[in-house]
Amino acid sequence: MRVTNKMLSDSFLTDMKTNLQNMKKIQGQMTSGKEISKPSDDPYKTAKMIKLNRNISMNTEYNTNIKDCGDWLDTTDTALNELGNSMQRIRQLLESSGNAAYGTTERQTIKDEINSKIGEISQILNTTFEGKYVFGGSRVTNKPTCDITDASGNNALSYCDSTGEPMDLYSSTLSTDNLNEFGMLGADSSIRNSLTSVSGIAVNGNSKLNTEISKGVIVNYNVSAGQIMQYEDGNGNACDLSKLLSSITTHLDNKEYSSVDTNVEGAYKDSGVDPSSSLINSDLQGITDAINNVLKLRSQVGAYQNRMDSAKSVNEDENYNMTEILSYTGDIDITEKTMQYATLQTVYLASLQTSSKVIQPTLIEYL
Amino acid sequence: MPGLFGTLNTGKSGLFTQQYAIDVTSHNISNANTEGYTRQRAIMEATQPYCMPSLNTSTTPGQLGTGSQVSTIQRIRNEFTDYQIRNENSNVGNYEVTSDYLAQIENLFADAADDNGLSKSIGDFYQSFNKLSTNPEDKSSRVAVSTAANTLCKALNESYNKLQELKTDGYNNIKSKIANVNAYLNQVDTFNQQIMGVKLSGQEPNDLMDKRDNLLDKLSKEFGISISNQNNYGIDVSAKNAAGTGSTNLSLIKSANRENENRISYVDSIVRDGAENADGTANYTLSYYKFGDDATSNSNKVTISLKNVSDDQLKNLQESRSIWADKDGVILDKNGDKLSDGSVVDLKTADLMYFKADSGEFKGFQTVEANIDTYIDNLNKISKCVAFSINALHSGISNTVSSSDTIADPTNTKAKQTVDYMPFFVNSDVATSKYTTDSSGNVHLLYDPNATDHTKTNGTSNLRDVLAAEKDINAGNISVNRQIVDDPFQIKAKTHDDQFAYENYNNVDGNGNGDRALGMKQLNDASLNITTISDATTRNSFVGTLESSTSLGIDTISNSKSGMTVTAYYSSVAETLGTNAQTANSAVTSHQGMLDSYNELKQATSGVSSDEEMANLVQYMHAYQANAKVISTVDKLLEVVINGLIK
Repeated sequence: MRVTNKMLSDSFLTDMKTNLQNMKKIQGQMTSGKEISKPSDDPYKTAKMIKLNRNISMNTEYNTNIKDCGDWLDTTDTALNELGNSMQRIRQLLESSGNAAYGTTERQTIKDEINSKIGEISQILNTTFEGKYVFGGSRVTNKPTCDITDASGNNALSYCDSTGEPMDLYSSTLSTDNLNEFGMLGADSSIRNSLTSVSGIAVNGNSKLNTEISKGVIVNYNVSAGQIMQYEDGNGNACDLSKLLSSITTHLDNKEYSSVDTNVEGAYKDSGVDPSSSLINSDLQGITDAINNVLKLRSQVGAYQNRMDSAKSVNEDENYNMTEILSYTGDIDITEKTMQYATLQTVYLASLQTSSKVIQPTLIEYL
Repeated sequence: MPGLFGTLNTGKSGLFTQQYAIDVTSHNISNANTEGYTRQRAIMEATQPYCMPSLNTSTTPGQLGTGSQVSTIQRIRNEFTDYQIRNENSNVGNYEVTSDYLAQIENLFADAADDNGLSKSIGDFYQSFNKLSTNPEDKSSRVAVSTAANTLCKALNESYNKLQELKTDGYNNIKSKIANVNAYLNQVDTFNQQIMGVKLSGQEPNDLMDKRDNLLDKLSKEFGISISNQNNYGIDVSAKNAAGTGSTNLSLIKSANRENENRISYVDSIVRDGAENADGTANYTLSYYKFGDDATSNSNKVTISLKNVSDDQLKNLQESRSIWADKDGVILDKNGDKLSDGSVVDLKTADLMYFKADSGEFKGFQTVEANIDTYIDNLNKISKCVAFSINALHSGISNTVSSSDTIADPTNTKAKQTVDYMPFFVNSDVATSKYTTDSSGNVHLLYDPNATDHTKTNGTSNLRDVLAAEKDINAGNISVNRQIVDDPFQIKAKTHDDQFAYENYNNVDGNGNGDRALGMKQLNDASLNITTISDATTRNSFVGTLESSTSLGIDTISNSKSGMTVTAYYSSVAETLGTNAQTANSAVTSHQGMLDSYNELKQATSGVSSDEEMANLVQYMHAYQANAKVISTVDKLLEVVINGLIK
């Protein structure tokens, strides 16, 4: 084939262009540390990396959720612990009130301490975590219970509405707004039915707070005031903590509960039972049931805490694996790239040197 | 017997021949680097010998040669290589343009692999609902949601606008290409006539043919051409396999009957004229520039009316943007009628002759328009999917409102709602003009529930118009309802918010309840029918009936067996784009490689080698010197005869 000078220089130009393009690509990869700078570099890997990045990002969110949930559960657990302690003290005081040697003065002293314990219980039920009321059900910015003084001057426990005013679950005139608020606090109105003969309006229990700890896994993590205040005893009867505490303080005043409070229902309506014997029978059983309820709730919370711990470690493992895969897919191997770059550089220099020797000489110089 | 003067003439002819050859060689050398130059060679032949047999023949031994002459200047060119080069040139032109535009579209998706850009905006938007679900009472988590939504809308709007700009850029390129092509064609035409004239007179029009071949090469890069040789080195040029030409054979250049030549004109705009006809066709006003020339004079712009244009015909016109025209630039229809200013054409009976190249840069640009349309469509699908699914879950309502419905005023009672009073995403094309402001002037509203007199603000018709325009949401007009942006507490995050017209009417759920927000966040993983979304899809047809969720207490969109998540769809779009760009890039490389090898072949045959020319020069120089020596010898002989014989 006939070869002209122009062919030699054209071929050199084409090859030099290819060499420089290759070098530019490797240089870009080395300076950015990434294999892929745009989708056409490797379409399949691009799609994979988009999905991986999104997954890692979502997983990190789940991690935050798990941590926040764990902190909330820790606060709940501590509060329930204190609650249990207060109730134990009340129980002890009740037991000691059965001492035949105790007279009115001793009973008053016990009653004073129990009054302050009731105040304490209300305070514990109003625990906050990061500005939200832990036992407030879905109504997190208003306190769930308040500490009121009843007709005989004793402390009593009561639900609060969103303005801070006490709300009575057993009142004969309950507005729809009040019913809704009870629902938010998890107060079950069927309790109202069994303690009284007045049929109540069903209230939706909208007190649950949910969070997602992993894809599609939703966990209800809160304990609401209603779950603590309304519960069942060993025989399946409905019980109410506020009624129980009022009954205790009334009995310590040596009065029958029903004769003082016209709003008393069902099991708490004394009829002809001596107050001091009520203290060591029905009231003692009542406080024991209340303590058992708190313990049951606490064990549930404990189970959730364990679940959070294991969810956290699973989540962190997943994140670690995905980050590893992401790096394997998209990051460069510096050693390999350096070797490739060195090879390309050698080829480029060799082509420059050879071509410069071949292109230059012509016949003209020798004529 | 020729005698001494005969010998002198022989020497003289040799001299002139060698000199002529040296002239040709010097022409070669001076054009050694001229683009498209073919080397020429002087073909020498012996002149007519003395003498041919006849009654008057001499008896001396003969025939005696009488010298040499240059018979012709030969142009050394391989026509088959030319044909192959033009072929490859068209392919390279096509793929270069395609790869160029795909690289620009890729820039929009460039950060995809690094988790920046659109996929991050989409992911962040859904994740902002997570914070909202755990802290719905907190203003900052609500503002975060509206901010993330705004960012997503802006990202979609920008990508949409950039793609539209690329489309317009493509159209402008086609326009300038048409102007260039017409200029080339006119030049080739001129050369063609000149070449035929020169050949007729018996000479070789070598340099003119080089110029014509150069122009033909440039033309082949624009679109595939087919050349047929005619008499006297004339050619006929027509476009190869150009679709839309119908049965008529259209030539660009003719060696004879030049009044039948055709040119190409540029379609500037196609504007809808009135509403759609009953059979789905519509009327359009089309304006075109003769020869694609919008600069020279105003009379180059011609407007015609088209009747009964079907969607396919419209698409062909919009994508090709070029139409066959006659020699004066006036476009033709399939029946051959000329369509000058003010003509009316019924496209049912006579289609326009749009020009769709099958290779070359024209094909690249025309394909690019179709490609960009696909990517715009993908973005529109994503926008509609996000808007419909979020709006449906936000309000708990899946039905669509039409522009003839009337919407009742909202009431503050708990009941399953049938009207979406607070749509999350709205169509900004319509919504921008429908907002009013409340008494403070700071909050934008579609409907003010606190106003006592609704007649000043059009009652519920603004809201109705915005809801009716929801089915036309696309990536360019998707936006967040400004009522939500100005007051983030309007975002419905609670379980029973679908039972109330506004979020603040809800007295059943406490303010810590964020289950609806959790449901909206879970839409990120929901399998939805994104790929089947079209312009006609409405909220109702996309979402269907909301079914109650087993894990949350709200009605949510059920997963579709044949659907995919938004992220999966986006990543498949990026992957398709990457694959197309990769294919185009490697096509460019391989076709460029073939073009280079054909060019090398052409150089091998037609290129000037300065070494070879030097060697030839030396050769001719010696021959010239030898002939000069002959003349000086004859001169001495003549001296002997003339001055020496008779003293």
